[in-house]
Amino acid sequence: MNTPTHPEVTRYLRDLERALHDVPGSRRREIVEEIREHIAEASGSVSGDPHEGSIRSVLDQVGDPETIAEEARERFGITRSKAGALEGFSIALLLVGGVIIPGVGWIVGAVLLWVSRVWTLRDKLIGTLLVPGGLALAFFFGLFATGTSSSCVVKGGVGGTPGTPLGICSAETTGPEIWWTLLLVLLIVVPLGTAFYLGRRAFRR
Amino acid sequence: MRYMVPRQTEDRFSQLRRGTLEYCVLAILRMKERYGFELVKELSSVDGMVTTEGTIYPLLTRLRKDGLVTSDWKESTKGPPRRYYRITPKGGRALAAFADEWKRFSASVDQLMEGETRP
Repeated sequence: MNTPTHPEVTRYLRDLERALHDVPGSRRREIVEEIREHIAEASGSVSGDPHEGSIRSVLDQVGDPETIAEEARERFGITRSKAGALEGFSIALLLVGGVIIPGVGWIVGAVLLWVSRVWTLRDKLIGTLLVPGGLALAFFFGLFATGTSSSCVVKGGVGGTPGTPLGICSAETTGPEIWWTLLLVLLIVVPLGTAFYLGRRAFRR
Repeated sequence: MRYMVPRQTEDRFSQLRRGTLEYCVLAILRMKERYGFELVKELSSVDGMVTTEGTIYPLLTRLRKDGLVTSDWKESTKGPPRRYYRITPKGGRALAAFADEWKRFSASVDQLMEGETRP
């Protein structure tokens, strides 16, 4: 009833849940639930209406989610699942696998991603959905885009006014072309970001 | 250099503390059942026992799994029901065994620290 919904608390509990990812579900839920209650009680006793300062000091006292997770792993004799070659291959294949072996390379990367025990469900969803195919999509999209722009030149030539300067044609397509370029940039930046994210999640520490 | 020595000492103590903490929890529960927050506050009121309050909860979960404590839900006057922890007979025996060993162990350490070793 009185569960804290302060954004800082929500973020803390989410971090904690994530840090505890290799602790079995029922125990993880129990720990998170108890700490949620602890925070509620502690912030309620600091002042009637908890403000940022007190929330932060309560969270400081409860401690870093990684420290709590480390303790949980030690208490339950869980060895932290360490990232290795599988994770490295997975990240590489998700990024460029689809370019090297069209389609298949990325799928193998995705399978490795879901097989790995290092990443959380959230990480795996990000890895799969941002962006399916990895850089392959940008690669083939790039080929396709150059194709359309050359067809534009042809169209300009055929369209009744032979010898129309190329400039007019590109002026006509400037609007949409900006969007295509933007999309292309996104299709390059997002998979790179995802690869970086997955790498950080797997290999930090 | 200046902070290195205290830091190492602190690490050594954190190991010692970790090893004894579960018995401190059992000792507190021996008197009376407690809910998590109460227990944590009681532990942290003793100097140096708990530095990271959240780490008590994995320990409680572990003790429950090992059958040294049990827990049940009780309504509270305000807020949601609370999970109260209680020591089990098995927990009581573990605590008694530890208390014995601890007495002998700490006596030995004290003796050595004070340099009163006899051949």
